[in-house]
Amino acid sequence: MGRVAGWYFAAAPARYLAAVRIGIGAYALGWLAFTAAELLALADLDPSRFDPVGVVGVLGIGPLDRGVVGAILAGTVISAGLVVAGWWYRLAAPAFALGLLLLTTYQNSWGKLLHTENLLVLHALVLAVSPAADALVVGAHRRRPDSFRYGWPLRAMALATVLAYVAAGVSKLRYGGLPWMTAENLQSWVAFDLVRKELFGDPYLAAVVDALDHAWPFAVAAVFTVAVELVAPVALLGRRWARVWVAAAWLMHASVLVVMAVGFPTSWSASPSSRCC
Amino acid sequence: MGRSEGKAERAHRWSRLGAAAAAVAVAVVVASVHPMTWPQGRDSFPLSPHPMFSSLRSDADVRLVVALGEGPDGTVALPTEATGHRHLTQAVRALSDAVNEGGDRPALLCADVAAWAEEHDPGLERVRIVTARFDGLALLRHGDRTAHVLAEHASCASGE
Repeated sequence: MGRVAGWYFAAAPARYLAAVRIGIGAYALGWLAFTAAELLALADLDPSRFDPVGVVGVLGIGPLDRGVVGAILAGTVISAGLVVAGWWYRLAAPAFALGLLLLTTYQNSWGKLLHTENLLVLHALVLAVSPAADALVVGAHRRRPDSFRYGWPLRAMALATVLAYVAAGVSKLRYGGLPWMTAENLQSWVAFDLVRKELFGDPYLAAVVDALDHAWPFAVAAVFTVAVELVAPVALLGRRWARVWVAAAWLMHASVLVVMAVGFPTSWSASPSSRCC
Repeated sequence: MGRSEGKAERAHRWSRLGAAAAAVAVAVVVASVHPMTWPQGRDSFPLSPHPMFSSLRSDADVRLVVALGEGPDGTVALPTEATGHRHLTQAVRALSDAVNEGGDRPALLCADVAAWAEEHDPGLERVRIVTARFDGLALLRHGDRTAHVLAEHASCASGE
Protein backbone atom coordinates (compact mmCIF):
# COMPACT_ATOMS: atom_id res chain seq x y z
CA MET A 1 0.00 0.00 0.00
CA GLY A 2 2.87 2.32 0.90
CA ARG A 3 4.52 1.73 -2.48
CA VAL A 4 1.25 2.43 -4.30
CA ALA A 5 0.78 5.66 -2.35
CA GLY A 6 4.44 6.57 -2.96
CA TRP A 7 3.93 6.10 -6.71
CA TYR A 8 0.62 7.97 -6.82
CA PHE A 9 1.79 10.92 -4.72
CA ALA A 10 5.28 11.27 -6.19
CA ALA A 11 6.17 14.85 -7.09
CA ALA A 12 6.13 15.99 -10.71
CA PRO A 13 6.95 19.28 -12.47
CA ALA A 14 3.99 21.61 -13.02
CA ARG A 15 4.85 21.83 -16.72
CA TYR A 16 4.21 18.09 -17.28
CA LEU A 17 0.62 18.42 -16.12
CA ALA A 18 0.26 21.70 -18.01
CA ALA A 19 1.48 20.05 -21.21
CA VAL A 20 -1.16 17.34 -20.82
CA ARG A 21 -3.76 20.08 -20.24
CA ILE A 22 -2.79 21.73 -23.52
CA GLY A 23 -2.77 18.43 -25.40
CA ILE A 24 -6.20 17.36 -24.16
CA GLY A 25 -7.72 20.80 -24.67
CA ALA A 26 -6.32 21.10 -28.19
CA TYR A 27 -7.44 17.60 -29.14
CA ALA A 28 -10.93 18.32 -27.78
CA LEU A 29 -11.08 21.54 -29.82
CA GLY A 30 -10.26 19.54 -32.94
CA TRP A 31 -12.88 16.93 -32.08
CA LEU A 32 -15.51 19.62 -31.45
CA ALA A 33 -14.74 21.30 -34.79
CA PHE A 34 -14.89 17.94 -36.60
CA THR A 35 -18.13 16.84 -34.92
CA ALA A 36 -20.03 20.14 -34.61
CA ALA A 37 -22.09 19.70 -37.78
CA GLU A 38 -23.07 16.15 -36.81
CA LEU A 39 -24.06 17.22 -33.28
CA LEU A 40 -26.24 20.04 -34.62
CA ALA A 41 -27.84 17.76 -37.21
CA LEU A 42 -28.99 15.32 -34.50
CA ALA A 43 -31.94 17.70 -34.01
CA ASP A 44 -33.25 16.58 -37.43
CA LEU A 45 -33.41 12.88 -36.50
CA ASP A 46 -36.62 11.08 -35.60
CA PRO A 47 -36.88 11.53 -31.77
CA SER A 48 -37.90 7.88 -31.37
CA ARG A 49 -34.31 6.98 -32.23
CA PHE A 50 -33.14 8.67 -29.02
CA ASP A 51 -31.89 6.13 -26.44
CA PRO A 52 -30.28 8.05 -23.55
CA VAL A 53 -27.16 6.65 -21.87
CA GLY A 54 -24.92 7.76 -19.02
CA VAL A 55 -25.38 11.23 -17.61
CA VAL A 56 -27.96 12.09 -20.29
CA GLY A 57 -30.18 9.28 -19.00
CA VAL A 58 -29.52 10.09 -15.34
CA LEU A 59 -30.48 13.74 -15.84
CA GLY A 60 -33.55 12.80 -17.87
CA ILE A 61 -32.41 14.86 -20.86
CA GLY A 62 -34.47 14.28 -24.01
CA PRO A 63 -33.79 15.18 -27.64
CA LEU A 64 -32.52 18.78 -27.67
CA ASP A 65 -33.24 21.66 -30.02
CA ARG A 66 -30.48 22.69 -32.38
CA GLY A 67 -30.16 26.01 -30.49
CA VAL A 68 -29.57 24.28 -27.15
CA VAL A 69 -26.94 21.96 -28.63
CA GLY A 70 -25.35 24.99 -30.32
CA ALA A 71 -25.20 26.88 -27.03
CA ILE A 72 -23.58 23.94 -25.18
CA LEU A 73 -21.19 23.50 -28.10
CA ALA A 74 -20.22 27.18 -28.07
CA GLY A 75 -19.69 27.14 -24.30
CA THR A 76 -17.55 24.00 -24.53
CA VAL A 77 -15.45 25.42 -27.37
CA ILE A 78 -14.84 28.66 -25.45
CA SER A 79 -13.96 26.84 -22.23
CA ALA A 80 -11.67 24.45 -24.17
CA GLY A 81 -9.87 27.48 -25.60
CA LEU A 82 -9.46 28.92 -22.11
CA VAL A 83 -8.16 25.57 -20.84
CA VAL A 84 -5.52 25.49 -23.59
CA ALA A 85 -4.49 29.06 -22.78
CA GLY A 86 -4.60 28.39 -19.03
CA TRP A 87 -6.87 31.35 -18.36
CA TRP A 88 -9.64 31.40 -15.69
CA TYR A 89 -8.79 27.76 -15.25
CA ARG A 90 -10.80 27.10 -12.09
CA LEU A 91 -13.99 28.02 -13.92
CA ALA A 92 -13.03 27.01 -17.44
CA ALA A 93 -11.79 23.48 -16.68
CA PRO A 94 -14.98 22.20 -14.99
CA ALA A 95 -17.12 23.89 -17.67
CA PHE A 96 -14.99 22.25 -20.38
CA ALA A 97 -15.17 18.80 -18.77
CA LEU A 98 -18.91 18.94 -18.14
CA GLY A 99 -19.65 20.33 -21.61
CA LEU A 100 -17.56 17.60 -23.22
CA LEU A 101 -19.20 14.92 -21.07
CA LEU A 102 -22.64 16.17 -22.05
CA LEU A 103 -21.93 16.49 -25.78
CA THR A 104 -20.20 13.12 -26.19
CA THR A 105 -22.85 11.33 -24.11
CA TYR A 106 -25.61 13.06 -26.07
CA GLN A 107 -24.00 11.97 -29.35
CA ASN A 108 -23.84 8.40 -28.03
CA SER A 109 -27.52 8.53 -27.06
CA TRP A 110 -28.58 8.29 -30.70
CA GLY A 111 -27.64 4.71 -31.46
CA LYS A 112 -24.58 2.51 -31.21
CA LEU A 113 -22.10 3.56 -28.55
CA LEU A 114 -18.72 4.67 -29.82
CA HIS A 115 -15.64 3.93 -27.74
CA THR A 116 -13.26 6.51 -29.13
CA GLU A 117 -13.92 9.42 -26.75
CA ASN A 118 -14.23 7.58 -23.41
CA LEU A 119 -10.68 8.33 -22.30
CA LEU A 120 -10.81 11.90 -23.54
CA VAL A 121 -13.80 12.59 -21.29
CA LEU A 122 -12.37 10.77 -18.26
CA HIS A 123 -9.09 12.67 -18.62
CA ALA A 124 -10.92 15.99 -18.96
CA LEU A 125 -12.82 15.23 -15.73
CA VAL A 126 -9.57 14.54 -13.86
CA LEU A 127 -8.02 17.71 -15.31
CA ALA A 128 -11.03 19.70 -14.07
CA VAL A 129 -10.09 19.03 -10.44
CA SER A 130 -6.35 19.45 -10.82
CA PRO A 131 -4.03 22.50 -10.75
CA ALA A 132 -3.07 22.12 -14.41
CA ALA A 133 -2.70 25.84 -15.10
CA ASP A 134 0.24 26.45 -12.77
CA ALA A 135 2.62 26.45 -15.75
CA LEU A 136 2.61 27.06 -19.51
CA VAL A 137 -0.03 29.78 -19.26
CA VAL A 138 -0.31 32.23 -22.15
CA GLY A 139 1.00 35.65 -21.09
CA ALA A 140 2.23 34.56 -17.65
CA HIS A 141 5.48 33.15 -16.31
CA ARG A 142 4.72 31.04 -13.28
CA ARG A 143 7.42 29.06 -11.53
CA ARG A 144 6.25 26.42 -9.13
CA PRO A 145 8.38 23.80 -7.38
CA ASP A 146 7.79 20.14 -8.20
CA SER A 147 4.93 18.82 -6.12
CA PHE A 148 2.65 15.83 -5.66
CA ARG A 149 -0.16 18.23 -6.68
CA TYR A 150 1.09 17.94 -10.28
CA GLY A 151 1.87 14.25 -10.11
CA TRP A 152 -1.34 12.62 -8.93
CA PRO A 153 -3.54 13.90 -11.80
CA LEU A 154 -1.10 12.42 -14.34
CA ARG A 155 -1.17 9.11 -12.52
CA ALA A 156 -4.96 9.15 -12.18
CA MET A 157 -5.17 9.62 -15.96
CA ALA A 158 -2.62 6.83 -16.48
CA LEU A 159 -4.74 4.55 -14.25
CA ALA A 160 -7.85 5.33 -16.32
CA THR A 161 -5.91 4.58 -19.51
CA VAL A 162 -4.49 1.20 -18.53
CA LEU A 163 -7.76 0.05 -16.94
CA ALA A 164 -9.64 0.85 -20.18
CA TYR A 165 -7.28 -1.53 -22.01
CA VAL A 166 -7.71 -4.18 -19.33
CA ALA A 167 -11.51 -3.87 -19.64
CA ALA A 168 -11.28 -4.44 -23.41
CA GLY A 169 -9.14 -7.56 -22.86
CA VAL A 170 -11.44 -8.89 -20.15
CA SER A 171 -14.47 -8.43 -22.44
CA LYS A 172 -12.82 -10.50 -25.17
CA LEU A 173 -12.11 -13.36 -22.79
CA ARG A 174 -15.52 -13.07 -21.11
CA TYR A 175 -17.60 -13.05 -24.28
CA GLY A 176 -15.37 -14.85 -26.75
CA GLY A 177 -13.23 -16.99 -24.44
CA LEU A 178 -9.88 -18.40 -25.51
CA PRO A 179 -11.21 -19.11 -29.07
CA TRP A 180 -11.24 -15.32 -29.53
CA MET A 181 -7.48 -15.60 -29.99
CA THR A 182 -7.74 -17.77 -33.10
CA ALA A 183 -7.00 -16.71 -36.66
CA GLU A 184 -10.46 -17.81 -37.81
CA ASN A 185 -12.22 -15.50 -35.36
CA LEU A 186 -10.15 -12.44 -36.21
CA GLN A 187 -10.30 -13.12 -39.97
CA SER A 188 -14.09 -13.37 -39.71
CA TRP A 189 -14.32 -10.13 -37.74
CA VAL A 190 -12.11 -8.28 -40.21
CA ALA A 191 -14.06 -9.64 -43.20
CA PHE A 192 -17.36 -8.75 -41.52
CA ASP A 193 -16.12 -5.23 -40.81
CA LEU A 194 -14.82 -4.75 -44.37
CA VAL A 195 -18.15 -5.91 -45.83
CA ARG A 196 -20.02 -3.33 -43.76
CA LYS A 197 -17.55 -0.65 -44.86
CA GLU A 198 -17.98 -1.66 -48.49
CA LEU A 199 -21.78 -1.62 -48.22
CA PHE A 200 -22.02 1.64 -46.29
CA GLY A 201 -19.38 3.47 -48.29
CA ASP A 202 -16.69 3.74 -45.59
CA PRO A 203 -13.02 3.67 -46.63
CA TYR A 204 -10.73 0.66 -46.14
CA LEU A 205 -7.48 -0.65 -47.52
CA ALA A 206 -8.12 -3.02 -50.45
CA ALA A 207 -4.88 -4.93 -49.78
CA VAL A 208 -6.40 -6.23 -46.54
CA VAL A 209 -8.83 -8.33 -48.59
CA ASP A 210 -5.86 -10.26 -50.04
CA ALA A 211 -4.41 -10.70 -46.55
CA LEU A 212 -7.57 -12.54 -45.52
CA ASP A 213 -6.20 -15.60 -47.38
CA HIS A 214 -3.39 -15.94 -44.83
CA ALA A 215 -4.17 -17.20 -41.34
CA TRP A 216 -0.93 -16.65 -39.46
CA PRO A 217 -0.92 -12.81 -39.32
CA PHE A 218 -4.39 -12.92 -37.81
CA ALA A 219 -3.40 -15.58 -35.26
CA VAL A 220 -0.43 -13.46 -34.16
CA ALA A 221 -2.52 -10.28 -34.09
CA ALA A 222 -5.29 -11.87 -32.01
CA VAL A 223 -2.90 -13.11 -29.31
CA PHE A 224 -0.92 -9.87 -29.39
CA THR A 225 -4.07 -7.74 -28.99
CA VAL A 226 -5.34 -9.59 -25.92
CA ALA A 227 -1.85 -9.63 -24.40
CA VAL A 228 -1.36 -5.88 -24.85
CA GLU A 229 -4.74 -5.18 -23.30
CA LEU A 230 -4.46 -7.49 -20.32
CA VAL A 231 -0.90 -6.56 -19.34
CA ALA A 232 -1.48 -2.80 -19.67
CA PRO A 233 -0.90 -2.18 -15.93
CA VAL A 234 2.79 -3.06 -16.37
CA ALA A 235 3.11 0.42 -17.89
CA LEU A 236 2.77 1.77 -14.36
CA LEU A 237 5.77 -0.19 -13.06
CA GLY A 238 8.41 2.23 -14.28
CA ARG A 239 9.81 4.09 -17.26
CA ARG A 240 11.27 1.07 -19.02
CA TRP A 241 8.04 -0.92 -18.70
CA ALA A 242 6.04 2.11 -19.82
CA ARG A 243 8.16 2.55 -22.95
CA VAL A 244 7.82 -1.10 -23.92
CA TRP A 245 4.08 -1.22 -23.31
CA VAL A 246 3.41 2.11 -25.09
CA ALA A 247 5.37 0.87 -28.13
CA ALA A 248 3.32 -2.35 -28.14
CA ALA A 249 0.04 -0.44 -27.77
CA TRP A 250 0.97 1.91 -30.62
CA LEU A 251 1.81 -1.08 -32.81
CA MET A 252 -1.59 -2.61 -32.01
CA HIS A 253 -3.44 0.63 -32.82
CA ALA A 254 -1.43 1.12 -36.01
CA SER A 255 -2.40 -2.41 -37.11
CA VAL A 256 -6.07 -1.80 -36.31
CA LEU A 257 -5.93 1.50 -38.21
CA VAL A 258 -4.41 -0.16 -41.30
CA VAL A 259 -6.58 -3.28 -41.28
CA MET A 260 -9.93 -1.92 -40.09
CA ALA A 261 -9.56 1.85 -40.57
CA VAL A 262 -10.54 2.30 -36.93
CA GLY A 263 -8.51 4.93 -35.09
CA PHE A 264 -8.45 5.62 -31.36
CA PRO A 265 -6.79 9.04 -31.45
CA THR A 266 -7.14 9.65 -27.72
CA SER A 267 -5.46 6.36 -26.93
CA TRP A 268 -2.60 7.19 -29.28
CA SER A 269 -1.87 10.29 -27.27
CA ALA A 270 -3.05 9.15 -23.84
CA SER A 271 -0.81 6.13 -23.41
CA PRO A 272 0.82 6.57 -20.01
CA SER A 273 3.97 8.35 -20.98
CA SER A 274 7.29 7.12 -19.79
CA ARG A 275 8.01 10.58 -18.43
CA CYS A 276 4.93 10.99 -16.28
CA CYS A 277 4.93 7.49 -14.55
CA MET B 1 -0.96 33.45 13.92
CA GLY B 2 2.11 31.79 15.46
CA ARG B 3 4.68 29.89 13.47
CA SER B 4 3.55 26.49 14.73
CA GLU B 5 -0.09 27.32 14.00
CA GLY B 6 0.87 28.27 10.43
CA LYS B 7 2.69 24.97 10.05
CA ALA B 8 -0.31 23.04 11.37
CA GLU B 9 -2.62 24.95 9.04
CA ARG B 10 -0.39 24.09 6.07
CA ALA B 11 -0.18 20.43 7.07
CA HIS B 12 -3.96 20.30 7.41
CA ARG B 13 -4.41 21.82 3.93
CA TRP B 14 -1.96 19.35 2.38
CA SER B 15 -3.63 16.39 4.04
CA ARG B 16 -7.00 17.56 2.72
CA LEU B 17 -5.49 17.83 -0.76
CA GLY B 18 -4.01 14.36 -0.41
CA ALA B 19 -7.37 12.93 0.64
CA ALA B 20 -9.08 14.54 -2.35
CA ALA B 21 -6.39 13.16 -4.70
CA ALA B 22 -6.79 9.69 -3.19
CA ALA B 23 -10.56 9.95 -3.62
CA VAL B 24 -10.05 10.67 -7.34
CA ALA B 25 -7.85 7.56 -7.65
CA VAL B 26 -10.49 5.42 -5.97
CA ALA B 27 -13.20 6.93 -8.23
CA VAL B 28 -11.11 6.22 -11.35
CA VAL B 29 -10.50 2.60 -10.32
CA VAL B 30 -14.14 1.96 -9.37
CA ALA B 31 -15.44 3.67 -12.54
CA SER B 32 -13.09 1.58 -14.68
CA VAL B 33 -13.46 -1.79 -12.96
CA HIS B 34 -17.20 -1.74 -12.20
CA PRO B 35 -18.29 -1.98 -15.90
CA MET B 36 -16.31 -5.24 -16.17
CA THR B 37 -18.94 -6.81 -13.87
CA TRP B 38 -21.90 -5.70 -15.99
CA PRO B 39 -23.97 -8.40 -17.70
CA GLN B 40 -23.19 -9.14 -21.35
CA GLY B 41 -24.77 -6.61 -23.68
CA ARG B 42 -24.81 -3.73 -21.20
CA ASP B 43 -22.76 -0.69 -22.15
CA SER B 44 -22.70 3.02 -21.37
CA PHE B 45 -20.63 6.15 -21.84
CA PRO B 46 -18.02 7.19 -20.77
CA LEU B 47 -17.97 4.19 -18.43
CA SER B 48 -17.81 1.02 -20.51
CA PRO B 49 -16.61 -2.58 -20.49
CA HIS B 50 -15.27 -1.83 -24.02
CA PRO B 51 -16.99 -4.82 -25.63
CA MET B 52 -16.33 -3.94 -29.29
CA PHE B 53 -15.52 -7.01 -31.43
CA SER B 54 -15.37 -9.18 -28.30
CA SER B 55 -17.78 -11.97 -29.28
CA LEU B 56 -16.87 -14.89 -31.55
CA ARG B 57 -17.41 -14.97 -35.32
CA SER B 58 -16.92 -18.01 -37.50
CA ASP B 59 -17.73 -16.77 -41.00
CA ALA B 60 -17.90 -13.65 -43.14
CA ASP B 61 -21.55 -14.00 -44.08
CA VAL B 62 -23.15 -10.73 -43.14
CA ARG B 63 -26.78 -10.44 -42.18
CA LEU B 64 -27.70 -6.78 -41.85
CA VAL B 65 -30.58 -4.37 -41.87
CA VAL B 66 -29.76 -2.00 -44.73
CA ALA B 67 -31.42 0.81 -46.61
CA LEU B 68 -31.54 -0.14 -50.30
CA GLY B 69 -32.02 2.50 -52.94
CA GLU B 70 -33.65 1.44 -56.22
CA GLY B 71 -33.27 3.34 -59.46
CA PRO B 72 -32.92 2.85 -63.19
CA ASP B 73 -29.34 1.61 -62.70
CA GLY B 74 -30.29 -1.10 -60.21
CA THR B 75 -30.24 -1.48 -56.45
CA VAL B 76 -27.58 -0.07 -54.12
CA ALA B 77 -27.05 -0.17 -50.36
CA LEU B 78 -27.21 3.45 -49.20
CA PRO B 79 -24.27 4.91 -47.25
CA THR B 80 -23.91 5.73 -43.57
CA GLU B 81 -24.90 9.37 -44.04
CA ALA B 82 -28.33 8.38 -45.40
CA THR B 83 -29.36 7.48 -41.84
CA GLY B 84 -28.26 10.87 -40.44
CA HIS B 85 -25.05 9.55 -38.89
CA ARG B 86 -21.38 9.86 -39.72
CA HIS B 87 -20.21 6.68 -37.99
CA LEU B 88 -20.91 3.35 -39.64
CA THR B 89 -21.66 1.56 -36.36
CA GLN B 90 -24.27 4.17 -35.44
CA ALA B 91 -25.95 3.81 -38.84
CA VAL B 92 -26.02 0.01 -38.45
CA ARG B 93 -27.53 0.41 -34.98
CA ALA B 94 -30.14 2.97 -36.12
CA LEU B 95 -31.34 0.57 -38.83
CA SER B 96 -31.47 -2.52 -36.60
CA ASP B 97 -33.11 -0.59 -33.73
CA ALA B 98 -35.86 0.66 -36.04
CA VAL B 99 -36.62 -2.91 -37.13
CA ASN B 100 -36.38 -4.38 -33.63
CA GLU B 101 -38.75 -1.79 -32.18
CA GLY B 102 -41.23 -2.27 -35.03
CA GLY B 103 -44.43 -0.23 -35.22
CA ASP B 104 -44.02 2.83 -37.41
CA ARG B 105 -40.26 3.07 -36.74
CA PRO B 106 -39.13 1.39 -40.01
CA ALA B 107 -41.51 3.61 -42.02
CA LEU B 108 -40.28 6.77 -40.26
CA LEU B 109 -36.66 5.79 -40.87
CA CYS B 110 -37.51 5.00 -44.49
CA ALA B 111 -38.94 8.51 -44.87
CA ASP B 112 -35.78 10.04 -43.36
CA VAL B 113 -33.58 8.04 -45.74
CA ALA B 114 -35.83 8.89 -48.71
CA ALA B 115 -35.49 12.60 -47.89
CA TRP B 116 -31.71 12.19 -47.86
CA ALA B 117 -31.85 10.26 -51.15
CA GLU B 118 -33.91 12.96 -52.84
CA GLU B 119 -31.23 15.52 -51.97
CA HIS B 120 -28.10 13.44 -52.57
CA ASP B 121 -29.08 10.86 -55.17
CA PRO B 122 -32.03 12.23 -57.18
CA GLY B 123 -31.90 9.28 -59.60
CA LEU B 124 -33.25 6.92 -56.96
CA GLU B 125 -36.94 6.16 -57.19
CA ARG B 126 -37.55 4.01 -54.15
CA VAL B 127 -36.02 3.27 -50.74
CA ARG B 128 -36.50 -0.05 -48.94
CA ILE B 129 -35.51 -0.95 -45.38
CA VAL B 130 -34.69 -4.65 -45.50
CA THR B 131 -32.89 -7.39 -43.64
CA ALA B 132 -30.51 -8.88 -46.16
CA ARG B 133 -27.73 -11.44 -46.30
CA PHE B 134 -24.51 -10.73 -48.17
CA ASP B 135 -21.84 -13.28 -49.05
CA GLY B 136 -18.90 -11.46 -47.48
CA LEU B 137 -16.07 -13.09 -49.37
CA ALA B 138 -17.88 -12.92 -52.74
CA LEU B 139 -18.52 -9.24 -52.11
CA LEU B 140 -14.95 -8.42 -51.08
CA ARG B 141 -13.15 -10.57 -53.69
CA HIS B 142 -15.46 -10.33 -56.69
CA GLY B 143 -17.56 -7.25 -55.98
CA ASP B 144 -20.74 -9.31 -55.85
CA ARG B 145 -23.04 -6.96 -53.93
CA THR B 146 -26.17 -9.07 -54.36
CA ALA B 147 -28.47 -8.51 -51.41
CA HIS B 148 -30.41 -11.67 -50.57
CA VAL B 149 -33.43 -9.99 -49.03
CA LEU B 150 -34.72 -11.99 -46.07
CA ALA B 151 -37.44 -9.55 -44.97
CA GLU B 152 -38.75 -6.16 -46.06
CA HIS B 153 -39.68 -3.79 -43.22
CA ALA B 154 -40.62 -0.60 -45.06
CA SER B 155 -40.70 0.80 -48.55
CA CYS B 156 -41.22 4.39 -49.67
CA ALA B 157 -40.79 6.56 -52.74
CA SER B 158 -37.66 8.73 -52.78
CA GLY B 159 -38.53 12.20 -51.54
CA GLU B 160 -41.76 10.96 -50.00
